[in-house]
Amino acid sequence: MIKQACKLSAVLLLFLSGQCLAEVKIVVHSSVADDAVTSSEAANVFLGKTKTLPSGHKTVPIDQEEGEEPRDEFYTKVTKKDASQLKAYWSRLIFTGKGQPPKAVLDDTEVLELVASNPNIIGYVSGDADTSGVKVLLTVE
Amino acid sequence: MGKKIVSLCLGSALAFSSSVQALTDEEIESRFQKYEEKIEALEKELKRVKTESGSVVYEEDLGKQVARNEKRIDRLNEKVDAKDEDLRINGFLTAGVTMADDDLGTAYNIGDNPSFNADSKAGIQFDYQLGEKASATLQMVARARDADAWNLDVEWAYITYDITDDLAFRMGRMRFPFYMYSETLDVGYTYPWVRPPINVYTTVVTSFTGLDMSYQFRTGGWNHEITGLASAENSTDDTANPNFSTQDIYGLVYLANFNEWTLRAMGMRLGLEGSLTADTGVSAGAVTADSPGFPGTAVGSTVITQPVTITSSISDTLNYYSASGQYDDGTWLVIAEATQLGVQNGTIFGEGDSHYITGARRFGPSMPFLTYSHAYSTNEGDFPWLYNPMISGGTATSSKSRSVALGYRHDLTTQLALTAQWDHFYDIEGGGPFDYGGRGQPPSSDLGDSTNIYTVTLDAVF
Repeated sequence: MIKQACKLSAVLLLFLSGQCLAEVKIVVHSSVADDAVTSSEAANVFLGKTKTLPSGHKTVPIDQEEGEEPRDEFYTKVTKKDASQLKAYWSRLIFTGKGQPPKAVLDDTEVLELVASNPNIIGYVSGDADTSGVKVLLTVE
Repeated sequence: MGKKIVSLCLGSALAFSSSVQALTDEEIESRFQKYEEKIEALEKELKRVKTESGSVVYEEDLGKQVARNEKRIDRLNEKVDAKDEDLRINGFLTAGVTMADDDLGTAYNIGDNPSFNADSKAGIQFDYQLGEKASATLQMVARARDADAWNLDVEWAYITYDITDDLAFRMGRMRFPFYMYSETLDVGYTYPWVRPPINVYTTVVTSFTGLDMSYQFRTGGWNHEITGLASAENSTDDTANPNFSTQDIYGLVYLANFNEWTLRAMGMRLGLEGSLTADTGVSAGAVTADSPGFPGTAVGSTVITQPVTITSSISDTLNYYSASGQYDDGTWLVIAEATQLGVQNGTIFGEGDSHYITGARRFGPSMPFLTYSHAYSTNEGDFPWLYNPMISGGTATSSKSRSVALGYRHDLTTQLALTAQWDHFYDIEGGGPFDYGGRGQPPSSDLGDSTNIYTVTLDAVF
């Protein structure tokens, strides 16, 4: 009985925490002139359709590794593509020689370290990450 | 007191757990004590270390850590900036089993027995970065479709030079960009179907050697890309057919994208030159004796098995157009394309139109889809039976075909998809699309006005 209750609460907790982490923030170096991007502008950058921010500032997107929670959240919400659809999208570009997907680093911490140290990098981190040293261009809920 | 409560809790938890059985209170108590002793010992050790080393060592450690972190960030930055990550290798593979009600000829190599040859293929691509602005790409595709053995074709082999971020120049061997998915024709993972709709995507030539230049620009939320291509001479490199060559190819492709929407338009002009000698051009069995107007043929439906020699020189120009639209919001996917083939002289090649529409709905990893397609000749050539046309829509004789396809795709992993598809072709006349794939053998003569194709494929990218 108690065991079942525990199981149930564990499942519930997982479900709730999934809901809590659902926020994703798009971050750049604090010196970048842009103050905000729209969801579709961010999608364009991360899908390789543009290499600049709306201000004209050159930027390189950086991914988190496959399986990281912010990655799935980001792509599902911002580009409306799940991991398989994203793979199909990039395959079309790779096998026509038109592009390669962004390089990936490990997690929130590495993204933030990179973004804080390089004004030409744009990344995304989970909503509860400490973004005090960088500029948040968009919070996706 | 606290310990007692803890052990009680632990005891009750253990009692409820099915995996641990029959531990007496004494046993639990003694185990607990052992752990407690261990923790105490560790705490003592920690205290001793702290007092002995003092804060100096700690600060030194911190300094080292900061230095290490900085180094790590530098390395990450290098990794991100790296243009010198020289070689990238990507691959794709489709393993498929296909069966039809009838023998559909060698254009698709689909027969009335289950076959792994029709849709199976594998490819590997090498991208080599040549400094900051240039790269070399080589893609090789092996297909089981042509014969018993797998043939290896170099589909792409070109150099890209980025003049600016938005203007790129490519030269070498590339894919004809006839349709929305023709450049990834062999990469089954990139489209929903087991193969692009046969009524539209049937071409003999898939690659050309030449150059193209593409320019990207943005207006509002729209991304635009204009590509112009030019090519001089390409042989059809299909030994089963007369050695035609395409001459002076010019093409223009416009691609626009806005959020869920993709629009595409293509126009191409292909000059054709060649002398058609029937003894190389009309291989045994390719022409039946009841073909209209064939000189010296016997009456009846006997297949001519002797080489016939008539030589005529061919000079013609094909104008080929396609328009495509796609809507993809992550849940719903709609793809529609239409083509039109016009022929200037029309001695051998007929004119024709074709189109299809596909609707799909995603449910997580599952995606059922439905396709309707239609192809028909609008004007047959003067001597259409001499040679199968090169491009879909063009027909050997007056020809038409409709099809409805029902399919289901399931993403097994993010790199592997399973697709099952049932194609129903009906209203077929003159062999429909199966008569002009150009690989030699037309469909069996008893092909009626309808047929079915059943296909299951596994598509992978890696």
